[in-house]
Amino acid sequence: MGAWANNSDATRDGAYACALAGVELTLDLYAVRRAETLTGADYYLSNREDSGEDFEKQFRLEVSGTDMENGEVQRRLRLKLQQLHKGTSNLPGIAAVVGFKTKEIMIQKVDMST
Amino acid sequence: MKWLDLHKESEKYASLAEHALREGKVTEAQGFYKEAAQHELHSLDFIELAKQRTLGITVISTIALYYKAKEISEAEEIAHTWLGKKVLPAFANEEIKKMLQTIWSEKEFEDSGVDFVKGTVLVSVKGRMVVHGGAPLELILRKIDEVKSLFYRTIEMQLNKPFRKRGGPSTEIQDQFCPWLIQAPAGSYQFAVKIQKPKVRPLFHEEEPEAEDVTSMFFKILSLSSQDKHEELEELTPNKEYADAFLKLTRNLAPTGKSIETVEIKSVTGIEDSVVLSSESRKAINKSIASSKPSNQPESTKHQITGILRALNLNKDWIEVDIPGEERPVIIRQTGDVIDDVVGPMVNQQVLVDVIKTSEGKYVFQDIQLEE
Repeated sequence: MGAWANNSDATRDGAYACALAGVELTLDLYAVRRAETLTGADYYLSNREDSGEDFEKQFRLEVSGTDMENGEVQRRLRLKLQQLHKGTSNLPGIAAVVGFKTKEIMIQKVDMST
Repeated sequence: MKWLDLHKESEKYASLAEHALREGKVTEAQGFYKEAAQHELHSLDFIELAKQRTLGITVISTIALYYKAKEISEAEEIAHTWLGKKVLPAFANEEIKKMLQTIWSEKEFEDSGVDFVKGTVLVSVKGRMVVHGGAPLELILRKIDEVKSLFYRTIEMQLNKPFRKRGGPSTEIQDQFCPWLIQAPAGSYQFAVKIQKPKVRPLFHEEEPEAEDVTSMFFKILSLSSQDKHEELEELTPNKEYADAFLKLTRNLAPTGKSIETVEIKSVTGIEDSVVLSSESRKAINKSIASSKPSNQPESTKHQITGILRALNLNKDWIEVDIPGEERPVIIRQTGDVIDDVVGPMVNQQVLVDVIKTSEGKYVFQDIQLEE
């Protein structure tokens, strides 16, 4: 992290790396591509069986990172879940929040049909 | 050639664009984004209509890439074309409509001939009192004022100006770096702020900061102030007065959690990280403020007064607070280091004032914050 001059970039990129490792370990899902939007980059994930040739069976990953206390990690997860629920995308979603201070990664799937 | 090959090429160029942006090579980044957009656009020819998600996401991606490449007209044309075809899934149509709003705002500014500093700051307010696209006027005006105060302080610091305790920023600074409030895509409630580029560069001679740095510094300050990182904030700022002022201005912006749950400040381009202020942030800031001003007074003399801030005369070192149920207002003295842009927006608002009660029954000022 010390190599990064910009603390915000370091937090964001560190969170991406930890979240991607977390979803691979816990959900057996892999990042297949970045999402190109106007509001920051997220990732698309798929499982091993998916050919990866399109977005039809992929998951959208929303990531957030913080070096604050556990309360902030949980609050951010709630926010991300709300975003996924309110979001217009019909892709199934996964929210991941990385707490650097508390050394935890919170991951939750969102069923868009509910 | 398949969709996947072209999409991968597009990703490659988008990644190069991000690297270039991090190195501050804006023109080069725009070139890479354009390459990425062209590949993404081409890839659309290879997607079957039945693959609704793939089609929708790729169209959104194409428009976003052209927008980031500053090819605004191209982005707009693609958005209209695909909305008109009526073949995209609902989520994609909604997303494209939001993007069109952003594109139109950008075009308006291009046409107006007003030059802005890189990076629009988007402020998003969420909570019980806020509905989609609407919020109480008083609340939003206060948030706008608080963001403006933070921007001016950032600019003054970058201009190496002496710390300002009284009054607003000088007219020269207000003329040179004018914040604009601009329309933002509808969210819970959102507004956007852009800083106009200095009109006449020689005014501050060699002192003038790179205007492009203002937004980036604004984010760094907000980020450090909102976390328990007082030491890092002091390292970033030239003196303790600036660090304390930024902490207090950020606390003003942070909600208590009663009527607003969060205030999210982010860059429209998403290059800088976003800062989410909540009641937790307010607690963290309070902790930083308390630790920066240790008091050796006994606990029994420390009180917190809740009331309406009715009057103040900072030159004469006092503020006056109306306490509900009390006949006469309370005068709190020795306001010393209180600065106008922190306490000014609190007049006629409910406030929490930390005080020391002396043995003569007088109140000595310690700290003040808004109580929603």
